[in-house]
Amino acid sequence: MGSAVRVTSAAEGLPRRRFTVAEVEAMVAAGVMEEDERVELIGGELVPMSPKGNHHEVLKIALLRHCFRLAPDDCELASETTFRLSEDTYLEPDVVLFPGAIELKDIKGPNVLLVVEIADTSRRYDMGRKANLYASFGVRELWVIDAVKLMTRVFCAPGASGYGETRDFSAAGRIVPRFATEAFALRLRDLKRK
Amino acid sequence: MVNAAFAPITSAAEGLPRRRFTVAEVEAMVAAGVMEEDERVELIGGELVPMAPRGNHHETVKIALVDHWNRAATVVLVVEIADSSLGYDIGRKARLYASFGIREFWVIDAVQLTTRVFKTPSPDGYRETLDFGPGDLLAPCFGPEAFALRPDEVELE
Repeated sequence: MGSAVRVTSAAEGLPRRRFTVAEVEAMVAAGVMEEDERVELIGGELVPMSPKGNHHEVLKIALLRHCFRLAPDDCELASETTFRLSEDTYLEPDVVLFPGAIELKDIKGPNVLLVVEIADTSRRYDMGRKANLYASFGVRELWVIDAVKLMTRVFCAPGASGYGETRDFSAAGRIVPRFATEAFALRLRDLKRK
Repeated sequence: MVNAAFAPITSAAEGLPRRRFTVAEVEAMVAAGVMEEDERVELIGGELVPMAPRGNHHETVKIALVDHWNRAATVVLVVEIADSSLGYDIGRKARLYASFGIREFWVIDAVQLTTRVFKTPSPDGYRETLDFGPGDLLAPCFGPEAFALRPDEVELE
């Protein structure tokens, strides 16, 4: 079935069948979908992820190196993990920080410390609809980093329809996480990118 | 795998590009038990759209039609019986059948027993539509004459 992006919006405006996370996992197990197919499940619908550009990958590598180097023993870090937010929703954030006392399989919206999404072509979506989605599942802090402009928008105070608080940072601004350790504080300008 | 408490429909990803499924993939899902064999869905341009629950009118009319036609052979005609799905059947679904070149399409309103007949398919819909009342004679253009019927004369059980 290959890796070609196969998308549709043929049934726009019609009610569509809702899939559960368990059903999608069963599809992968049965070989209906490839294990490495890059999709997210949003409210029961499979949404292919936009291809990641070079800016995105370079910044992600630099950010991961920064986080791994500074991570204390009581903090865990996962990259592009399948973050199951409910029975019918999972997302694949670029970075998730969560307390070391929690196992990866048990992470939920409210118990993670920080989610980071790196955006290049998907900037509008990540800062709009996707941020609202993280908020609705109670993720306490979200950073969306624009990989091209090196601007960051920090979202806090999640509510049912979105975040109550947003702050914008330039590449020179120092971003301090509210729930994860201050050791992760970041100035994008200072990240070593290759 | 669908449990009773779980609403089986969604439009959560409205406006976003969604994954396209093929007929073969849906068949594989059924074979693997991910979907029930009797789950009533249609695959429209790669998306699974659950069909409206069939009302009582719908079932009665369908059974009567099948009885009527069982005396004849297969026809070159598609018939949809609509109750709650009428708007969808005469709109989007008709365009879909037209785009696939189905030469004649009837939508029978199971409540009023009126029928809309669609002919001359084109890529963006049927060029010709005709409305018939419950007592009018419906005669297929391409199927055998024996299929002709008046909806109000079909015996409803």
